[in-house]
Amino acid sequence: MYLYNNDDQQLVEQRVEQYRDQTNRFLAGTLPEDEFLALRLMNGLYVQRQAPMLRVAIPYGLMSSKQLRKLSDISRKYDRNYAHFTTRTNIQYNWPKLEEVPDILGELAEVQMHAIQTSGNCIRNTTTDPYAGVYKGEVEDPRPYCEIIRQWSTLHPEFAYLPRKFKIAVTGGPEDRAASQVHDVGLHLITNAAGELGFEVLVGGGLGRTPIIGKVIKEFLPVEHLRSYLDAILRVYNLNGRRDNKYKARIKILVKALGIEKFAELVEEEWLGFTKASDLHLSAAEIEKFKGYFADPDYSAEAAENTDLTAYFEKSADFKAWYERNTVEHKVAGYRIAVISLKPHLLPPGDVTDLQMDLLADLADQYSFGEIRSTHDQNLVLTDVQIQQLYPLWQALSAANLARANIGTLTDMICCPGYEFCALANAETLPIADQINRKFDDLDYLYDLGEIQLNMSGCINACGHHHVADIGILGVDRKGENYYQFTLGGSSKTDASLGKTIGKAVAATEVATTVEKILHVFVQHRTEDETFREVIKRIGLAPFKEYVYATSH
Amino acid sequence: MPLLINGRESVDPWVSLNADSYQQDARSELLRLKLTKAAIYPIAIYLEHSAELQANSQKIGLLVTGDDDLSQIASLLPNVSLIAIDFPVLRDGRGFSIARNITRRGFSGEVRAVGDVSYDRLDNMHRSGFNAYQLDDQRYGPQTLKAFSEISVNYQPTHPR
Repeated sequence: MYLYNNDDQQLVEQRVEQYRDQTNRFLAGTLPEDEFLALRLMNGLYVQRQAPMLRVAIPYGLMSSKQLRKLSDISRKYDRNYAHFTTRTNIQYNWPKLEEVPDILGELAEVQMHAIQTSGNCIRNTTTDPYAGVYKGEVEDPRPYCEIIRQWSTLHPEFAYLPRKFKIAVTGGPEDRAASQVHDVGLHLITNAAGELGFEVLVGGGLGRTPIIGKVIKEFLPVEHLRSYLDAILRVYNLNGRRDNKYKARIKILVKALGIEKFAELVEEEWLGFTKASDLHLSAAEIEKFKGYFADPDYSAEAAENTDLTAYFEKSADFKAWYERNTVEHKVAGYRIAVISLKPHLLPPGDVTDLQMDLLADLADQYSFGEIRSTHDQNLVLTDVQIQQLYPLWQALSAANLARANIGTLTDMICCPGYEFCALANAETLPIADQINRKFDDLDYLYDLGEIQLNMSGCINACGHHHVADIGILGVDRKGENYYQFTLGGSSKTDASLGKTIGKAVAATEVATTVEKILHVFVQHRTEDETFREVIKRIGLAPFKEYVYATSH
Repeated sequence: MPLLINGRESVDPWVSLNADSYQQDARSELLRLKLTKAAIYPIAIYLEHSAELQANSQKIGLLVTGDDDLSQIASLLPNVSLIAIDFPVLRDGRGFSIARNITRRGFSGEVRAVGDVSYDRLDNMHRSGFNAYQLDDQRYGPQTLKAFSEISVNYQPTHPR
């Protein structure tokens, strides 16, 4: 992974002191509250319903065991022994004290971490495929380009006060595990007919109040122009994005208003006129330097000699289920990618305790070259596990409630923290997640249903990505009562699409039974091996609407 | 109102057009400005009277806001010595890109930040191409210059002015 040099280290240390000074001036009353608000947000600090919330950056979801141990330490020392992974692959603390945040940042800086640009109207953490660099079908490892974007966007003087937040996702090939099409900018590594490496560039995707799938602005951008082209997009957006209404300030609204052709023309003019030949151009040597940080670890040649797990499967059906659901083929023979579910039964999706973090750091050291990744669907990944070590890994995970074999199933849901923890939320999400988990605890039934993505948001801002799920649930408030609106047929994957509402919102007590009705229609209509998504594409929403809202069954 | 130019507290030789006076009596306000050695005109007003103002032997400065059409600025740069860029509110960051847009065209005159100019954005302004900052009295003090050195390493090139 990328390791800080002296300059990187100095930057985060100076940033800590800068933020400490800002906090001190605010507490002393010399920095007005509205100015401090913008400054603290740019450093990941929200003030929520019950306490401040600090969001720490995990650049493109990659962290070392040492960093994870520090995150665990911080949760013990400054918080309540747990933390929460987000859909931006960041981690957040729910109970820090505002005056202690500079000390937390100081501790983070010791392990090359920070909270820079984890909120605010600036360029946020770049996200990518959690299997980057180890996935068999990938065109190229996207991480070196993510790091290039990280450096270019960190404390960029010109783009710190954008009209609104700005999110970039990068995939290493055509398969999309980064929800890239619902990002302000989505970048897909591809090769052209001549075999050269470049990006397909999408712009203007997003969720929230106005969900939109991104549009292609450039079919093939040679990798050397990544930085200069992004710079041009950002400048056009900064100058032309709406400033009069924060709900219409995202780049998607600008692209929609101008039309993709006109927007592309403005970017092209800026790019060709100024940035393309500037020092933003990436030399081949510079790209190689970044690639060097993400070279393959020292894989064992012996690992491929014995990949038979039959004996373990016979010993434990649970291990077999976990292997089938939670591990993925690796590019190197003898290895598997292991996905660690942070969606245990009846506990908040994405949450992790200090003890679990300590254990995961140890397991990363023991089984996966000391690195661990966070995913946009709020799970963790050990990317490089020898097949023969999967069983002891699973045993250790099981003992810590980290081995629920539900990846890709209904209970592997993306869920925002909801009303209890977020000042923006209108409705609770966590009790609803529990309700669904209680109803669908039978793993065999979940496996029979196959791949189903269920996402839930506690408000229209859509942090739970409900628009891009097979089953999306949006919590709304009506005169103090929570109701839940269902959308079906969304996807954040390669075939990205936005779900459609099936009808009026249901009462909080009815959510799990509504899910049950939806699944009933699916099971009734599916042919062999057909997924939920395929059934929806084939039969449309009408049968679902009819059954869910029928007066009696 | 303190003015920092290239890191020094400076006396302002420039006179700015007063929008209210101009609205009440455009001729008198223009005449008042024309008699000065160096005057700052809002870009729209300058364009409206450009023939008359170009004939006048004074240094010209232009006030640019985020709502102005930037495509007009490039051709005006050779005739002006100062560009003042307005920051209407804290959250409006268009001024940073306007400064960058101007300086990369080779403009070597003064690029001045006016409006909501505060300590915590001075370094962003400097690194985007500004070299002069007009601050409110209560936002200026002996500590102000520290803003430029809080973070001394950057991933982006600073465009030295």
